[in-house]
Amino acid sequence: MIKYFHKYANPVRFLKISKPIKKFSGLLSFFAIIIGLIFALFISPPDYQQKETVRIMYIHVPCAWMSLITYSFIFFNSLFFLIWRFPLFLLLAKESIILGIIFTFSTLFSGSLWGKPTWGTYWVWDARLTSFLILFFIFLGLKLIKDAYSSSNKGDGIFSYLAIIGGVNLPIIKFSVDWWNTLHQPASILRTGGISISNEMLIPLFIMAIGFLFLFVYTLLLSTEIKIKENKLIYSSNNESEY
Amino acid sequence: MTKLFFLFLFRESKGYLFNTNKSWFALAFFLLCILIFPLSLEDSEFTLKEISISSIWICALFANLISLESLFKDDYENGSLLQYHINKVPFSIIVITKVICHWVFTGVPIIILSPIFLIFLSGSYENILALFLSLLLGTPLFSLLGIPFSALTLGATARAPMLIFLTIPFYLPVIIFGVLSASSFSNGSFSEYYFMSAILSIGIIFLPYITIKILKESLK
Repeated sequence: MIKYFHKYANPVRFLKISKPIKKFSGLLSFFAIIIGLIFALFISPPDYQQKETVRIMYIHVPCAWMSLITYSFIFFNSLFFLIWRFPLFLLLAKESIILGIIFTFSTLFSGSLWGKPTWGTYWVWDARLTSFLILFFIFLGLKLIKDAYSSSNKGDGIFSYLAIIGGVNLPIIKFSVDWWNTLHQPASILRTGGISISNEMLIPLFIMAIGFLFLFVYTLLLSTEIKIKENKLIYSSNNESEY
Repeated sequence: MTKLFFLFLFRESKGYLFNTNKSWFALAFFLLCILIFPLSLEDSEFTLKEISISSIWICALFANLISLESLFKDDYENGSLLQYHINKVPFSIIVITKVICHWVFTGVPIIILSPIFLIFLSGSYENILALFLSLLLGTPLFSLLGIPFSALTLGATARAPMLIFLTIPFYLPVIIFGVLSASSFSNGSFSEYYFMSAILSIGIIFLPYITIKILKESLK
């Protein structure tokens, strides 16, 4: 395991390997999102209760999944950074914060737009919505810590510890609909007793989710590559000025 | 070890007792904060009665937040924290004494004064015990939850606003369950009290441990 990490934690080797993955995931996410949108907007049937507003689901649900995945990614990268101290883990964690903020914000925004026609209100203070709002503020806090210590590497460990403490929120978000009586509906995909959603809606949902996942991978690899090259540039210019 | 513990406890409490802007400031801030609620409601007794428990909880939260900043500040800036680290003084003692003193000098006065302020805010007499018990469980949780963040922000440039921004999201569950427990006491349901005690017992185990790790990280 450690040997494996050693091999790919080298930034140069990482860049070499990430290039084809980046290209592939960029193309895949582009086509998946386009096909998914066509399915979601035109082919999939309207809901018998919610009518056409159910189509917000195809944006809302993948965004919500992606924000949870992004946070878990940051959590595990921070944990690995604290254990093995490879800077690449921290770089990946730091670069995915802004994506997490975007995903979380769009979840909250599309959710409140969906809530108006179906629940009759833009916002309620129930467990799922509140815990998701807390996740948004944790992301903002991580961004704040990252920027506060951007000039030195003193904040690296501190950033990872904050990410680990914030990980407490993840299970609360997942199980908030089961533990409390919420207006938000309970889970309908990952639940005991199988999937409770018809195939006509499930297929476009999964296509959209795959599109968003590879969009995340593509953007993350792109920004990490830029950051690595930027660091290299700063390092080489510092070295030149010494001589 | 025990001797060292009491030494640190004595030193810490002396700092709180004689350094006026450490402990009395938090209490004064609590009183000032309480003042806002009746004044902002233009003599409507009914609304004040409704929100009396919540307003005391909110003021307790802010008083705790304000006093978090000075928790490690002096020790970090005059270098004594680094000296402890070099001389291998166990950080567990430092962290635990700091939590205890922080609770005793900012939490306990608020707990003791809360029945008086409940009556000032025209709350009903039946709620006194409920509020007292919920604050008894809630304020140590505030102190425990705050201490890792106080250690996290050591050495940052704009420390106080950053500390407040990072800490409030983690204080929210405490205030949610605290207010719920105080208001459901009259119905005879104690589930929130049990839940708060569960969080408190988990917090006593894990949060000082994380704080020690963070302190060692920030002293590198």
